Amino acid sequence: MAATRIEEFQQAFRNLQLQPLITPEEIANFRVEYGDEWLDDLEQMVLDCSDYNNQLIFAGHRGCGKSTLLAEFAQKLSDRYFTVVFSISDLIETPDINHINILFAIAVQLMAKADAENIGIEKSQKDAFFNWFKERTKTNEIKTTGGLETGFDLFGIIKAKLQTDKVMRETIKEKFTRNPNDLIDTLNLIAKKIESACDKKIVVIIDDLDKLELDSVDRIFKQNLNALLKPTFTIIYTIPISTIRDGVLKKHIEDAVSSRIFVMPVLKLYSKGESRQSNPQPVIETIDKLREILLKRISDDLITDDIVIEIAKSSGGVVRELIRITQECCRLMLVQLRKKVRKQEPIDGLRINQDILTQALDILRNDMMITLSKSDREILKQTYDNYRPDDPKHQDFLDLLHNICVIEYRNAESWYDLHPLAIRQLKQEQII
Amino acid sequence: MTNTNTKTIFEANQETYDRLIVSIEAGISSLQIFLAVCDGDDQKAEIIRRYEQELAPSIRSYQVYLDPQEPSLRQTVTDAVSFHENTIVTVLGAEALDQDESLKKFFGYLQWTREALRELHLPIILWVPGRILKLIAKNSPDFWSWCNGIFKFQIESKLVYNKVLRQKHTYLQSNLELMSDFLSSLKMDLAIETDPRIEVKLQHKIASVKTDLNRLNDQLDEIEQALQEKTGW
Repeated sequence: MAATRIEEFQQAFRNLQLQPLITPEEIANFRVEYGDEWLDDLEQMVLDCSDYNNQLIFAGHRGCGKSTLLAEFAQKLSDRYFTVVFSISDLIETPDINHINILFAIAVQLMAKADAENIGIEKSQKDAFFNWFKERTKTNEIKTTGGLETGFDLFGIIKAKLQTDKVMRETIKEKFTRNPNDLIDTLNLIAKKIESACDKKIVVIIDDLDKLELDSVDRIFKQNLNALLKPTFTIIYTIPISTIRDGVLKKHIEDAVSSRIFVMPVLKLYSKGESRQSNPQPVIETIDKLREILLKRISDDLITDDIVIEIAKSSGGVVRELIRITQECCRLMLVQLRKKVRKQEPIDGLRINQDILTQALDILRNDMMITLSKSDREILKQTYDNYRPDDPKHQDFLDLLHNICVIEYRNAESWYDLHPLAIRQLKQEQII
Repeated sequence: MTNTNTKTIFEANQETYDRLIVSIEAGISSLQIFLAVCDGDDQKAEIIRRYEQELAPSIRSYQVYLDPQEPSLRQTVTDAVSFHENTIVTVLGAEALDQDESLKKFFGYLQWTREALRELHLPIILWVPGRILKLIAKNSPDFWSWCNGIFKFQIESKLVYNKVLRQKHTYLQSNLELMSDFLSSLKMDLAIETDPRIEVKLQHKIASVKTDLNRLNDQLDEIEQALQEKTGW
């Protein structure tokens, strides 16, 4: 019996992964209906696309569920659209991302999926595409066993080369910078052939571009945005949420794509000002949703409802923070169970209690505070006092936003608040 | 004061170790990234030896080193480990990344490898020095945000003691040899001595040396007991 309780907490620990839900198994096990209104909103934006106005920009807080939502969105569209969703970091490991290799990666992913699903592109055209990729990536040395279409994984090889072969990335960049039309025209031709063969429109979703540093964002989405808008099919690009604090860049992007940047909000835990009251009342729907997310991963036999609510309140409405706090609680429970087993004390029925939660919050608060400087604390105080900093464009503030020390809540009115753990820390330091 | 501080640090480290070992055990056969920090080389080696020993033989442990030229966490792990079931990997070598260029590459790889790491179904314990930990938070914020735990071990003065003890032991060893020589000469003196007054003096001398040795023995017992209470070993 003792082992069972430990195994239950170990299973919960594994379930509380901080990564997005991507695989069908993960989605089946842990998905809750979350953000349906955003999915509908996003779908409407896709429906509104035309041949000349079809690129969308997507932003959201780190850990709020962007990747999960985008994967779910792709799945939702998959019976009506030819959908391709991929992480750019999966294809190009180093951060030397540019507009050329983004477009090239799209072309590779489109052809890889069309090839894997045996989309009925006529043979001569398909051979021409294969040859184009082979020639541009210099992969002619690959031995085939009787014809191009007999199953050697050209695109698997190109993906591997893109990831590891800096020389190839440089060659591609140089070649297509000189002659961008070669890439754009081929990309659009591939898309046209696929759409025609499967009788579906294409939607491509590129995740993890939001991990780029702001200077890269500027280089790609300001200086070379026009190239990214040339494809004649729908593409959803992700960008860091801090980008939208830069009014000039935001306007530049929105003007170019002729639509607003889609911002996925964090679940609002309190209405503005409520959390400063002596007995603040959280938004019930948010608490219910966070509880639902959590209880998909940890049995209610291991945690009381009071503690679930406390964790939800301490998460600031950010899903990853909800998961992180609960995983730390499971870790501390496992330590406690181990000690009790060693002392031959009973462990049946032990659950996460207030003491464990307090310890977990202290540990995570200390981890969060590792990087905070004196000036960061000043910005946090301003934000706490006024629901906004003195200078929302200041790089230090953008970093705090990026690190979820500050959280932006949006609906009719937008405001900033501190992560509840940051509030605990500043109160402890008597700064607020 | 030293004693209190040492005990506190030791207890804190023991708690950190407990958190780390249960995390590794719970995370077997699933991707878990643990950031471990310890600025004492001997202490770090001892912690690694301890968890590897505790997990053996059912869990296979690998130790791999980051390449300072291409410090990619993913590449380092995938190059060395192909079998993930019941396996853990300890990644070392971050302390050697002292050039701006190699550190920048290291942070870039960390920030950019979430998706690629998903294919690894094993706990990864990445050891970094304290100076780099803060920089990871700043330069690889996405990696930082999905790490499954940070485990900071403080330098234990126990290990400083060990160094001092080693020196003292050497000193004591040489003194014991002198003492042994002295006793041998005493024995020879006794064999040839015929003056009863000198014999009485020698007896007193022997009693005095024995008292000193007993006192030293008691001190050693006290130290040994205190060490056992502190370490639980």
